[in-house]
Amino acid sequence: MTPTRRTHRSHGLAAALVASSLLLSACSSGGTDDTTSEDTPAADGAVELVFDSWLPTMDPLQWPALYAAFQEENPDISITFNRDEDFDAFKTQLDNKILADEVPDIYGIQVGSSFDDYADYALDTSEYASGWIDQLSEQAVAQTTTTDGTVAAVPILNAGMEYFLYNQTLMDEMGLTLPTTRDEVFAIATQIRAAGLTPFAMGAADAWHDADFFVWLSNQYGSGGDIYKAAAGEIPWDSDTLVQAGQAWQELFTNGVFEDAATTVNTYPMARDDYFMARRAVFMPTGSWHVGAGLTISPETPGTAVENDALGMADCPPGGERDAGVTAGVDFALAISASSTPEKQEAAAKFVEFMAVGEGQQMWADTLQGFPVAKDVTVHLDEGESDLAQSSVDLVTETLLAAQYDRKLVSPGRDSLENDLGVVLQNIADGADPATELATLNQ
Amino acid sequence: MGVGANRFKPYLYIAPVLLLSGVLLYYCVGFTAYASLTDWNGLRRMNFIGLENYLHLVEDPTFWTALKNNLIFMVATVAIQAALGLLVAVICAERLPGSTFFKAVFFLPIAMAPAIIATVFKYMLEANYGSLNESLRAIGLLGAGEVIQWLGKDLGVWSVIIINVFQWMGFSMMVYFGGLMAIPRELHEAAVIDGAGWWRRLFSIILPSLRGTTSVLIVLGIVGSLKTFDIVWLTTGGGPGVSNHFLSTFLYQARSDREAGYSSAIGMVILVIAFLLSLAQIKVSERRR
Repeated sequence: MTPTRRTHRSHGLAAALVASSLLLSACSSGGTDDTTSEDTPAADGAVELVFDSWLPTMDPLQWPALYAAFQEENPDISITFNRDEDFDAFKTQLDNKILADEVPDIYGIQVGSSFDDYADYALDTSEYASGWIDQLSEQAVAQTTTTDGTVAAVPILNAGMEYFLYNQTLMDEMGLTLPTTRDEVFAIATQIRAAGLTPFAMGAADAWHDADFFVWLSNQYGSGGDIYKAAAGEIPWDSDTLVQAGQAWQELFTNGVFEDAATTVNTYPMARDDYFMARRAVFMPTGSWHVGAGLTISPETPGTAVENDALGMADCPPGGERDAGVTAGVDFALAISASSTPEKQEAAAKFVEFMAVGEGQQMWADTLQGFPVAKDVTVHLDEGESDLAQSSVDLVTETLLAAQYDRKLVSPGRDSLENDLGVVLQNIADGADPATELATLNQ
Repeated sequence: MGVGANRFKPYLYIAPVLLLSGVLLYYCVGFTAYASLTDWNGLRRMNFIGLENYLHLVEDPTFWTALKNNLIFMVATVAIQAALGLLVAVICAERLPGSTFFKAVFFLPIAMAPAIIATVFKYMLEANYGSLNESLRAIGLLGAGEVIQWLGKDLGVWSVIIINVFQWMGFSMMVYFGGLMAIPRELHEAAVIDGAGWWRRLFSIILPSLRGTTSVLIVLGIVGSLKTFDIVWLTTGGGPGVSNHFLSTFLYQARSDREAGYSSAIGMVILVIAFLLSLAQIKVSERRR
């Protein structure tokens, strides 16, 4: 029996090895998307820069066009653009580069709680932008200023919340008119549901979207602005006005304004592609950056069910006691590495200037990826665009300029606030008591 | 070669592995252990705070939710995958018509990227327009406008379990199939001569012979369940709320929130749990022998 047992054992060992190798090979898949522009060989005396960011996109009208225009002005400066479409993945990559002392010469940066962390590695803008930074909106520049008063990055694009895309063609087919009050929102939701469609496709699985929506909504209660005080620890999260806003938020789910199971639907791609662009939803709450969906140059609609529909954007009807307008904030800023060589910093400054107050600002704003921060730049649409597209852009421009409240909460030392608030809001959406849930943020 | 040189020869053989694992594995484990005692933000802020992260972890309800989900997932997937894998392997070993085809079909999901599997299931399980709920509506098991939230707070973990079983059952099947092929034919022949039927052979020959294989699958299942991330993150993102967080997604979320010290503490807890569970399983199987 001994030889048999030995053979049995060796087969068992072989099976285990096969198992391990299969497991390892099965687990080795995966990775991240990393879009890199073609390296441009540098001529003698030329400067090569590395630019890491999640924006601009690789759409022909964005990075390729921007870079071509920049190179036309600055043929001696070449830029290798490392784009990570996913913002969190981009931040992880940036963290790794910072830890490895390989801070990119130029990097994208977003305002909010983590701004100060990344600003530590940025060149003070007073060293390269003092000659032109006054051409930018003061409110935008204030948001790229650290808590110790250093303007560490140059704001490039603005964005605001809460808007919604609407399908005008679908509304006409159903005999609907655009809702302008909370009551009208509830009434139209009932009508749309009765027709077997989804009223508002909300990506409530995204903590960032929940938080942005709630910041906008909460400003409509009391005298407004309590949520920023709660974020700063000045008032409790279960203050009356915030609890009222929490109840209003919950009603949007329980009264069928948003789709069923909205907390399992993310904004991208589900709410956008599987609901709104699939013609299953009439409206989609989103940010100002989406106003371009209604333009002929939009890369989002071709091939979708709404390809031939007229799409517009409006600001969300107030859900609270008063209309507090949209929230706004710097959606994209650029920082220059403090550790780059002086010649690279000088070249990087030219690129940042191009993007902030130069041709790049106008070109990028015209794609409607965001709204301009330069005071004398306005969005230009092609003459072929529809009246609906033009009126949507005008409305977004006007409401953004009138915005009184910041889109993002700042809570020094608590970078997890946006996610924590998102979790609380998802629990409230799924039926939890608003006061109890909001109180958990007091810790 | 002298006696002294011979004494060091074995160490030279294992030196490359020791160096590689020392740099790639043990250094990282050591760094994570240190980072877990700091308020590291993922960049350069790294102040020593002692056991504060661990104390916070014990009081954090998300940790207990994630741990509970991990345990449910571990027990369910190990048991279901082993049972189904064994069943299919035994059927395939009977060499019935088409058994090779079915073996390939069951094994196919292993060759697919988890991201693809997760995405396909996410669309199938979507509450409003997903094919599963639409099918249930079509056959009248779900009313018009009614939804079952397969990826919601109540059913999310079970959906993830089903997806994982779909993906890995074929792996268990192949391992068991390999084990079955290793059982000496003489044992079966002797049993048949002694009058043993199919069931008797299953319980008296096949299952005892596959004890080692089962043990390997359990260890791999335990370790695999603790590091399960992709299908959970891609289908539920840990939500709604924190209801579907696993330890690995909880760790990732903490890291995304710039709480690198805290996420290191979660990582250390996962390491200790994996080590203890594997140790316990090995002890149990040694005792059986």
